Amino acid sequence: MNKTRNDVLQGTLTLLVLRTLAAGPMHGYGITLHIQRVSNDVLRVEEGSLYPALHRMDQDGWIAAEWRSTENNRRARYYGLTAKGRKQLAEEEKSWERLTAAVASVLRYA
Amino acid sequence: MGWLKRLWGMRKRDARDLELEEELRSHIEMRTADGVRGGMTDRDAEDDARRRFGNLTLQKERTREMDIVGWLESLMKDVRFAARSLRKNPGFAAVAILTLALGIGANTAIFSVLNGVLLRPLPYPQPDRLYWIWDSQKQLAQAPSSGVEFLAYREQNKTFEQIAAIRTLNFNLTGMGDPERVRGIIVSADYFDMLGVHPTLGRNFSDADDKQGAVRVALLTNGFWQRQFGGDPAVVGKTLTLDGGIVSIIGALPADYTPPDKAEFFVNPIYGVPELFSGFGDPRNHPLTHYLNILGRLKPGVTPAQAQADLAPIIARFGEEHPASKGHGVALQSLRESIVGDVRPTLFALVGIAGVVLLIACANVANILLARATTREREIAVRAALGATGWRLARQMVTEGALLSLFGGFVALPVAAAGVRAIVYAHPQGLPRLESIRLDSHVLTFAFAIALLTGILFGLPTAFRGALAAPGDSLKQAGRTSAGGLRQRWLRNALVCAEVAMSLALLAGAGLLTRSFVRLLAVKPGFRTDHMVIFSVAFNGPRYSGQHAASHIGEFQSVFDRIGALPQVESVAAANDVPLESEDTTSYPAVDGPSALAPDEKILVGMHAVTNGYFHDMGIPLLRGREFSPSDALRGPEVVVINRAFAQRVWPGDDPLGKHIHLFNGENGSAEEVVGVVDNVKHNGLNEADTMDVYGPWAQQPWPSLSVTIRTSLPVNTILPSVRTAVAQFDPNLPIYGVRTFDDVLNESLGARTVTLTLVGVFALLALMLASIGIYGVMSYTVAARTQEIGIRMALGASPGSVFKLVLAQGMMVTGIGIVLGAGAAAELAHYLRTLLFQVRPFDLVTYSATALLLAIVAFIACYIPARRATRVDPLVALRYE
Repeated sequence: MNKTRNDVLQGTLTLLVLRTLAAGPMHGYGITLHIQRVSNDVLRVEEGSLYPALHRMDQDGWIAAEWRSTENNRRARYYGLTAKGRKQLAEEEKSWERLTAAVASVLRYA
Repeated sequence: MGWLKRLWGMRKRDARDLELEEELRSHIEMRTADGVRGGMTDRDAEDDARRRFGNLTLQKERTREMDIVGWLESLMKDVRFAARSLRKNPGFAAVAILTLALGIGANTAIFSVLNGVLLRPLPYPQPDRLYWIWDSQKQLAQAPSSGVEFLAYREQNKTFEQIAAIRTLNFNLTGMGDPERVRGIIVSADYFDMLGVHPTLGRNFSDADDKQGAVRVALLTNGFWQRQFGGDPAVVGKTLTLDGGIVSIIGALPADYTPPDKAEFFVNPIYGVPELFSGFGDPRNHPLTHYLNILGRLKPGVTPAQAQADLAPIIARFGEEHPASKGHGVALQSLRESIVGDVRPTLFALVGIAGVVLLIACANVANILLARATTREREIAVRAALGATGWRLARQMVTEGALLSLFGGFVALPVAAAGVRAIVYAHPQGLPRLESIRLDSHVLTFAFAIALLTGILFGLPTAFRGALAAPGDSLKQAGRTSAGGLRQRWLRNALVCAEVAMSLALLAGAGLLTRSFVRLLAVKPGFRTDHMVIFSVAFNGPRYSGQHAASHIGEFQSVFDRIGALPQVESVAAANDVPLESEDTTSYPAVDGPSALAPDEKILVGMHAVTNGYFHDMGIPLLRGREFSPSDALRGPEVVVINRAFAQRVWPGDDPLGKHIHLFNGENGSAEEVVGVVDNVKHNGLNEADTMDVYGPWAQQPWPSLSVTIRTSLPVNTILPSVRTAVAQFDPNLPIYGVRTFDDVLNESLGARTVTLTLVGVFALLALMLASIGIYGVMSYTVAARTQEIGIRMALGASPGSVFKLVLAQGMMVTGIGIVLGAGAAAELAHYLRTLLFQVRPFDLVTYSATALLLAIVAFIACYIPARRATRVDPLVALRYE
């Protein structure tokens, strides 16, 4: 696992999770798969490290959790976005755009 | 409000734990299922899933920390773990806790004293507004004032709310069983009002009482009220007979009021007080008699400097009108300063010393912890490998340290309480406000804070070790327990070195004080000190005042004769005071004729009135001339005897016999002839320089108070009844008081020094004990840890003797460095002890050498046992030892 890439990912983990859940509630494994798939396997998270982040976001009130059964009738804990979470998502997306724009303009500067 | 949720989450901890377990496990199971579906074997799929997931335990813990008030719960875990590991090593825990208890206890006790004496405010409203108004003269910076000056200040000042006057006096109390000598304080009526103290029984003094000629009234202290009247409320209206005068009781003061000078009651007014200087008349006729101490309360917003400037012209004006007071000024001193000023430096020194002892105790415990940490290296490594961060490991160490020190602090409380009780019981001279010294909330907070601080302090070295542990190293080193690597050995040795240095500094300090004490005791007091029984009487009352006072007092000679006639009594001598206990009655005599004095120069002399044959009885060498004899009668020519210091100062190289001086300026205008010269006597104390003294015959200067010295081989209790009978035959209303021997006098004189020496000595010995335990501990551990190395050496041919020398040399070298460092530190600090030293230089070679030697011997013994153990190492066993 590439260590430096992992660090960057941890920083944006909140944003990625919130965005993923915007489409609908998911359990932790599902979130992992989604991020991997949608990013074409470029973004890989140490899967275990997702859970502290999820529980923290739960405490902060951005997502809400409940136990459900999966398609395979397995019990799993599903997380869904709250209203507060949607607001947080909007803010984080905005700051992310600002950040990437700034980086891009620095890179463009010859 | 996420934290509220977390707090709530603490409730169902176990249920949540299971849920979390399930959640994480289900993730891995789902991944495994996918893997199997993708074609992997069960085993491979599971391995893959786990690998991708990462450190399950770590993530579980980190997640848990999010769910709960994170650090609080894991802190509780740390505490439980620390408690368990301490329970598994009770010996180590006991040593550490006891060491800490001693250190923290000693510091807490000293802090109690500091708190009670210096930090707590005085028990009056706005106590920092209260100031003494002293009369300041050239040779005496703080002297009492006269009644006239008091009234002048009171009427003419603009900067004080209230000004009161006060004076401590001793009275003869009669009419209540045996006559008794009691101490009272005369005050102006507004004294208690100014202090905000109100009687619990009866009424306070009022302006009506405060007039000359008014009926005298008294307020009793609670102690006196209980002792003499059993706390009877009907005491109001009863009377006390003081010095033959009737004083009416108007009330009693609260129990929590502590009177100055251990007085028993307060009397009003300050005027017309029973004759203070019986031979010299009623102070009412002598407005210039300076006998009042003046205390004032500043107006709000006024500074002492402003008050000083306000009062200075008043006394200047007074000086113009009364030439005797010319040149006197006014000096303000805060009440607090007068009570605690003298003792402050000593207290701070004691705080410093106690702090050093605590540091030594901490160094010891830190060393023990470090040693233990080495044996737990494996455990620490495993925990680090399991994902514990450096921070968590360090926190574990610090928690253990804090737990040890909190226990230590707990055990320290009875130690501190005992210490405080001991100090208060000893009621050392010169330590004011004993009643405020106790274990109150401030002190307990201090103890707790100190305990916590020390815990963190000595937890730190171990914590750093733990945090910086590279787990791989110790795991790979299976089978070779080193002595912890070079850095660790250096740290341990450095700690021991520091302990030795601090112990030496303390021991040297104690040594210097001891030497001073011994030197002091060796000072020749100038008189014979064996077989002395001393008692005092005070001639107060109507029989001893007025015209016939002198002759009535003179009749006391019969008592001398009666006591002198008792069997086994060698001699009876009397004077107004006993040497070493000087009443400090002084005068500025004028000298007739040519002398070595400059024209306007005034010298301060001590005045003493003595009976005939005094010098012979007291063993004071007569250098020239003669003693007083019956021919020096009351109406005869006035004579004096001077001491050597006086003669050398005033008439150096000349014969003083036949010269004249005027002891009592302008009062009766007559001169006294010098008829003898005696050697110097240490009147004011063994450590004081020689004073100039003038002695007059008691027959001619019948002082109202007398101390009688009986030279007898009989013990005090045997001769006392005969003495009482003799005095009662002379006057049944005359109490005798202050029955003492020379040892008592000496102890009084040395009192404060003894206490300081005892405390410093106790601390120094404590330090020595702790340091030696420290050396022993470290050497033992080093030997045990280097068992393999010693085994190898011996297998390679080293003799037990050389191994012994090796270990010993290492220990003594560390000690040696410590001693040198300590000597340096001690010399620096001894500088501050200067005022307490007597005839001993701060860098006294004898003291330093002796303490260094003592420390070296103790260190040698402490190293000896481990060194012996080293020689008994069996090489074969050692090589196999892991």
